[in-house]
Amino acid sequence: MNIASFGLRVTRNPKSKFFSINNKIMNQNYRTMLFLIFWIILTVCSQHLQAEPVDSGKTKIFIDDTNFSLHFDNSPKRIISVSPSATEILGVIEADSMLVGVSLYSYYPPSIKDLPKVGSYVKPNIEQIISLNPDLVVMSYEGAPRSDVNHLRRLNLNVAVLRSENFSDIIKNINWLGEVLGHKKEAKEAAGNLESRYKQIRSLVQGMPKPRAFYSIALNPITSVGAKSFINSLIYDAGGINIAGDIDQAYPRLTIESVIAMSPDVMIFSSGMGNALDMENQLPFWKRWKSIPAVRDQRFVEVDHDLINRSGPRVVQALASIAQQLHPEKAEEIQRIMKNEKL
Amino acid sequence: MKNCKILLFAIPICWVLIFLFCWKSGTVIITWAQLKNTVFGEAASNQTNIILLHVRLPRLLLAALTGATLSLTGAVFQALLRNPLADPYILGVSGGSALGAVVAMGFGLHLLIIGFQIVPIFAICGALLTILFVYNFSRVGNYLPTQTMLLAGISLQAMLSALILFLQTLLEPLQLMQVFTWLMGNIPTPEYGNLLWIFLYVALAIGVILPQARHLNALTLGELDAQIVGIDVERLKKILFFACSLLTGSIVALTGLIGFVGIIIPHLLRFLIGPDHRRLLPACVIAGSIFMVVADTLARVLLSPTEIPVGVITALIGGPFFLFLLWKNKRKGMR
Repeated sequence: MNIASFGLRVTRNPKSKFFSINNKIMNQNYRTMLFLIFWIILTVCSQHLQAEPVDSGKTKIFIDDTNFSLHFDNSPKRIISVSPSATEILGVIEADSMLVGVSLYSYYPPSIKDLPKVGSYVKPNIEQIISLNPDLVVMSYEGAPRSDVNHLRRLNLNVAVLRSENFSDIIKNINWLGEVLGHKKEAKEAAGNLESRYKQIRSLVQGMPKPRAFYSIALNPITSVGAKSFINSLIYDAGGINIAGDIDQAYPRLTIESVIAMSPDVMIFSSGMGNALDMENQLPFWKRWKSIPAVRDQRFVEVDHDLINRSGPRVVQALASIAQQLHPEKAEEIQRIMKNEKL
Repeated sequence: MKNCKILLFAIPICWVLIFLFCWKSGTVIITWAQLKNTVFGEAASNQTNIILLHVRLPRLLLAALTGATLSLTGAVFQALLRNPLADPYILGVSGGSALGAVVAMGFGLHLLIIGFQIVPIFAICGALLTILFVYNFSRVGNYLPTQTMLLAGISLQAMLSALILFLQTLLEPLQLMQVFTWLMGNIPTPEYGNLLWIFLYVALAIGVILPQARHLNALTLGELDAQIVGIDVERLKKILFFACSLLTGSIVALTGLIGFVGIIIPHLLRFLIGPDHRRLLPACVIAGSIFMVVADTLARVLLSPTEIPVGVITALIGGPFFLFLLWKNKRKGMR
């Protein structure tokens, strides 16, 4: 390659000589100038660095899942939820009117439709969160970047990070948020409601023969749910056996060979995800493998992804939906359980 | 002479003006008056203060440092290897630090400490190990053949990116998403304590690199010629390689892989002000920093409230612009 054509070589032309007289001075000036600019900017900001003092009085203290203690003088009135799961919980404990901002892709409860969006739960928009002036920001333990959590906390914002990895986490979060927001009664009622329905459905199907189920999230690569996923326990509680359940990951990737070898009786899909992940888009692929019992017998189960992927209070509906389809003979009873109480 | 003096003042003023404009723009609308109040510490609302001083400013400053570092190291590598395509990526330095950082992130080590501290250490180690390997591998006695070093760097970079891909298949989707967005390049919002530390670090490295500009000029004539003029070429190479690797490692750890800045800014400046490194290197610091500030602002603003990875922006602006310059130069050559 001709190096000179890229202008890399220093050529002696009259112009550069003209410059070179002044070069030393220029170089030095530039360096000083640069230093000065940064120095000035840095000093300007350092004036504002002092943290505001926090006075203690009748402060209430709550501890979240990162062992961080949140201090409240009054119960919070302006809440931002950067976690779809927490947003749904706020709806259940009738505190959704306190929300002033939610994360992208939060659709439930319907009352939050027009609220400002503050970025996604894995990439929150710090600026917008601050501009909404919240008393409490709820973030997801699984999704929120720790650097963002720490950043908001440095700015004296109350950030609660809540873990929701299984059903008992959800119940715990309902009670926790109810306590913090002064909606204890609603929270207790909702938690009891959900728990009793969950347990009823679970015990209803526990005695039944358990079909071996395969939950197909995606095709390229074939992705399922493993032991570390919340959906694994949901399938189990709905009276099925998750064939990928002994893989010690949350979302293991499998080969088609291993799926055929494990010969699932039922296949579970989520719907409403759009494009390649929906059941109708996945079926053409699976129908090529008639040796899989689920394909041969056309036993396909479809669950709304909004219910199953959110790990919020609506997982009870997901549980009911899976249980009904795994055990059609119990469908009526399950529907009755779901109708018995409100929500 | 006159021209020169005007430039001396015009460039910093332009820099500050662009910086202020980028400071003002963002998801939340802020007026010039509010910005003025905050800068002079006058009564501005607490919220605006926080957004301007604790959310936007540290990020912009880090962007400036990143741009300065990437374009400066790019220019130095190009001069050292006398290859117009050289930059930290070609030598495997970025790959090494990226691998170090992915290892740290993938094994959840960033959860142990604030997420800021342990990843950089791994990344710097990765960068250093890579350059040590490339250097010792291609060294013949005390002499360092440039071609071998380039080839070793390229093949190592390929191996390293394969290793990163391999690690990615082991990660859980959520971790994968974080690693993936990180690899695309993002400017985080640092604490001022960290920022000061990074600034000192970068300033130190720049202080080491800039005085070598004269020697780099001689080196462009060829290593033999440079030696004849009385430059200890091997020592010069060692100093610059290690200074640049440390610099790149520490920046890559924070921002991920941001491409194109290290190639486009030095070349653009060569078109504009010529190849003399005594002018080119400081110009790279200034132009690189403001380029990155603008690119990061675009990344923040274009799709707000979500963000575009800044690596996407630099490649999308940088690529076509670079092609345009090459095309123009080609036509000039034809005429």
